[in-house]
Amino acid sequence: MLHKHSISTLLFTLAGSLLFLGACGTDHGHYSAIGVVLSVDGQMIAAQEQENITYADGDAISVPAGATTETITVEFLGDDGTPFTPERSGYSLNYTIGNTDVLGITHPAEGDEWSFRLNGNQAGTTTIQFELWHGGHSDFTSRAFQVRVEDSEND
Amino acid sequence: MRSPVSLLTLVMFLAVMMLPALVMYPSSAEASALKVVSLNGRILDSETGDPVSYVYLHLEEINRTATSDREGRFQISNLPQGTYTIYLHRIGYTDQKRTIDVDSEEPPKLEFTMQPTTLSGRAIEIIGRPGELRGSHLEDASITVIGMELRKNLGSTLSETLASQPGFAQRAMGAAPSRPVIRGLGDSRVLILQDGERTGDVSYTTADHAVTIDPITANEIEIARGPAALAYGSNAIGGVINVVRDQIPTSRHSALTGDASLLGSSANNGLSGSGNLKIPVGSDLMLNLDLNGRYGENYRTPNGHIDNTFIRSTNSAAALSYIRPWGYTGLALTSYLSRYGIPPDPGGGHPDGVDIEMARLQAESRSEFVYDGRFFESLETRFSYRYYHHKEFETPEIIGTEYTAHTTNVTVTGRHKSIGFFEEGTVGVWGEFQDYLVLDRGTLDATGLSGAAFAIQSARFGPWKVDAGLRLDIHHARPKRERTSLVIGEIRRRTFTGLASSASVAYDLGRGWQAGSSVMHSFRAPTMDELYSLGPHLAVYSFEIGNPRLNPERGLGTELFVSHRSNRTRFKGSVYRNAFSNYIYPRNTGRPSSTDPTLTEYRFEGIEALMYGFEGSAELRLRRNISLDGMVSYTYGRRNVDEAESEITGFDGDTAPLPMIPPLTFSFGANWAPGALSLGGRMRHGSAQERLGEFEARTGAYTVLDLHAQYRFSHAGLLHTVSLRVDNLLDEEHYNHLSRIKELFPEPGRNVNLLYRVYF
Repeated sequence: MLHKHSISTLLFTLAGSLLFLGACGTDHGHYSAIGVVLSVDGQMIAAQEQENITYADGDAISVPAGATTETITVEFLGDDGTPFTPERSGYSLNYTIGNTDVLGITHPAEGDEWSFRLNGNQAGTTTIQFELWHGGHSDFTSRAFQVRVEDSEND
Repeated sequence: MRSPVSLLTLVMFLAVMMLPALVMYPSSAEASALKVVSLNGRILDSETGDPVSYVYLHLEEINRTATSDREGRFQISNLPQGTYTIYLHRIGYTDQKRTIDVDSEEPPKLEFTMQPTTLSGRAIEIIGRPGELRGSHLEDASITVIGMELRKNLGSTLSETLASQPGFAQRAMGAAPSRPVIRGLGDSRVLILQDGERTGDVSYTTADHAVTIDPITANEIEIARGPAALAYGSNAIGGVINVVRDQIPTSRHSALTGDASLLGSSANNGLSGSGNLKIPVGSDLMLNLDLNGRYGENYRTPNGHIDNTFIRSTNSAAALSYIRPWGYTGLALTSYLSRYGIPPDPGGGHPDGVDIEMARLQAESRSEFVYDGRFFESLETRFSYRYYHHKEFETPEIIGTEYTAHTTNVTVTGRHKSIGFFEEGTVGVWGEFQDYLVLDRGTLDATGLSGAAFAIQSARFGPWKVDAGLRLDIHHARPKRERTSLVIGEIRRRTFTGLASSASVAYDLGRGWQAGSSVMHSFRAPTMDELYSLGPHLAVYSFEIGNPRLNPERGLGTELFVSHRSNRTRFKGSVYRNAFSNYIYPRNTGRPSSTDPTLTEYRFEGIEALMYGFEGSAELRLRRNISLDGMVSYTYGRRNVDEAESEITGFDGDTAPLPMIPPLTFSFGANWAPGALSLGGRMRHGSAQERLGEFEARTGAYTVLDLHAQYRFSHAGLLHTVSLRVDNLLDEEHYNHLSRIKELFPEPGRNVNLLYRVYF
């Protein structure tokens, strides 16, 4: 048989417990990317995995001057190495071109936020960086990819 | 709604709170049969014979407090019979410790006299029973900051308030986010408590996170080291800082009492206020109300104002206790709401600064049951639940990082009678459940479940005092999603088990001198941030990478100390050595992050490290009204460098300096106290720090001058105190080596603080 004071204790504890039941959590999700892969028709043309950048051909992405590339698709690398294309709302692709006199971009390409074409404005070299943009900030900022705009052999 | 968490919380809460009643009372005598008494007494001035009001009384063994009324009378009810150490503190008087016997059926009526003094509150007059004084009041490594000393040093943060203590420094990042560092040890190696409970905030993780306690609300601040610290954690090799607010009343006052404070500071046009009311309700209830608010604009340095260093906060509480002869039970609800700024990083990261908005809501219940059993004298149960949430705004609309933690703690502690040669001791169990979510570009979503059992014992052998403690900890960390990351490896659940131990011995050399030594073998499981972090933290300009393979940090701390107390002098000096077999810290790799090249990668690593140093403080009364004081602190920190690191970095050497180690600091002060007025000055010097961690900036030497004045008076039956302090009088430009932004911004310039406090 419990005493009065024990019952009082119980009342205190019940009052306090009501507060604890109100504790709610939220569940959020961000993409965690450690790299990016640029592909044309499923063939990688350049990629960054952590701090390492690789190119399919040479040491830069090659773009003909006065021409536009085929559609380049962007996939990001999750921290487990799996490529992914962001599907959640609120995400977009941002880019920064080092010299827009040399290189231009058509984005999005074919209405796909994760595809673009590069336009070779004039011969030269420049860089392009990509950002996985979400909620007003970058969730991933790539290293600068080298881009070489070359005069075509016919010119 | 996290219903499983809430249900578990509720079940644990009910189980713990009802435990003492279920265990004790069915097998025990009626509550009325308990041998409890009330302690009544009066306190007089030893020179005038006048009653001394507003004396703070603390029964150390069972943590009961009371305050004397205007007639100098006090009452502490519901005491189990026994022998107690009663500590008396009053502004303008020498602190006093007495041993009293409370073992008769008749309530003892006591009359104490207190001696006026010009020394700060650290001088203690020790009054014992004849023949038992020697060895009965030996100190351990713990210290208490209270009264005049607390008011004189009261700052806008806890670490600023403690910065003048020997061995203390402050990790900082602007005005608001700062945390105490003790002997070069910070973060989770220093445990911060409020009324004995963990705060549930994340100030131990990174430098931009503030401690969720406003020091203006503190009645006293205790710093425990050695065996006493094991009651709170096995990781606190630096120490345990307990901010005592006495939110849950443990004694019933005969009348309404309280205090109100107003603090202004010029360096940030700051204003803060607090009020406390202790209200007796009926014959058994005590209501305690705390209200506090703080406002501060950007702070000024000798080079101009630092953008985005504002602070707004409020730290309030309401508590109700039910106090009966069998003990007490109480419930407190506390809130801490704050918004403060992190200054901008002109070099990148966040050029406009980051605003942090945080909230801590806490419900805490504590009960103590006096028990006249064969083994236990009393049993205390604690239960607390805390919701902590903070958001880091990169712009007014954009949240960069968000922390959410639901933390539940349960503690059951029993104070037992003598066992063998142990005169007294406590045994207890502790548990914690935490649901932890860090949301940034990467997501840390994990739960932690921890449990511990501890025992702390004390014994005296003539002039010797021996304390010893053991604590067994088990900690389980479980990420919500187990997976393999190319960056940090296999993210998986981890379980850590460890035994921590500590012992201290003190010897009474006579004539107020004592010497002693303490040893602590610490155990610290890696935090969930250290295990699983993977994301940018713009507020501290870093990209943090955890390490799921980390092993627990083990430390071996040793200390030798000598101290002296008399009516004219006070001295304490210590040398210490803390060696770590796996010191976990975020190592600045110097590499830009692959996810955000504007940020630098910090990777958590465990290394062998060693810190040693010395500290000392002294106070000397030259004449009746004049005293001198001084303080010195020094820490040396180094870590081992393995061959792999040497190959990568080209570093030539077996050891390298640890980062964020405070330089040699010392201070000298003088105080003149004619009656109720006290005037003084202090010169503080910090040496240059030339021993630098990787990618760490040097800070130069500085010398700054501070002035302070205090005045107390009684009017209309109220005790008033006014404290004026001018920090950095000469507006010297200087840099805190433990500031995360020391390359960018100096410390505040001349700062005039004015504190008014009234007790009623």
